[in-house]
Amino acid sequence: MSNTQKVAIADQLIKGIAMSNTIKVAVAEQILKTMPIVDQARPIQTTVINGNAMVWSNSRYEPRRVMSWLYSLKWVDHPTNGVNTFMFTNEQYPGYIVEVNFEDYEESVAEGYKTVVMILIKD
Amino acid sequence: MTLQTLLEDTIRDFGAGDEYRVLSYSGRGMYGRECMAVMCDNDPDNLLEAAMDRAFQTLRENLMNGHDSGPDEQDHLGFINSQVNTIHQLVWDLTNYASDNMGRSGKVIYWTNVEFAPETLDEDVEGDSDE
Repeated sequence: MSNTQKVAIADQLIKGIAMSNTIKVAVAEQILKTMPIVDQARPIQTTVINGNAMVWSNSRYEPRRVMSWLYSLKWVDHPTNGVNTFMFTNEQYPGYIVEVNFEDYEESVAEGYKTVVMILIKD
Repeated sequence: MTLQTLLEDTIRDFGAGDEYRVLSYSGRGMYGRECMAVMCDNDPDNLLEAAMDRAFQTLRENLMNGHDSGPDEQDHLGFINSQVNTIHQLVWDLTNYASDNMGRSGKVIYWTNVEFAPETLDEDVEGDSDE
């Protein structure tokens, strides 16, 4: 991410201006790229739905290890309906959600992945 | 009846406004490929239970109304078998979905192997509307 983009995003966040979907995706991708628990060689998936930007990638670590890492960064988990789903929020970043799932796609499991990590930037 | 029309009809019966919306979605592990999904502002269980009830009600009605191919018993058994198989498949599909959280305010449930049929969509709720 260029410095100009960083400044533009920070400016929008500070002013409370709604981020465009493109910027939301860029920010979410950037967050995912900073996570050591994610396989950085894995392609990142992106989708936008109802104004929310979502990006995913895979981790070779068990969900509990990924969750411990998030706990260490003061992210807090919340109850969800999904048995295999864990959702984290952080007071400092109220519009950001991190979701951790058990890997449930055969192809990814065959490649040695155990966990899906998703970053969601809410509208 | 398809899974999509079953869900759309159930949502319409619910009269729940925008609480549930059928749309096209690309979820985890799909790498851009799209499928049929329902955006749920609330717990999807209510919708899925209502859809199951509707599917079984349709089965009951179809069996009560019978078919008009004559008195042949084999035809009749074939008709019953086909109706039961259709509903069995629908109920199986209903319960085999993937989901992604939308934070604390909703969830998208999706069927990775079910193609979204855009012609049955009432309104366009998807799209990258850059402000």
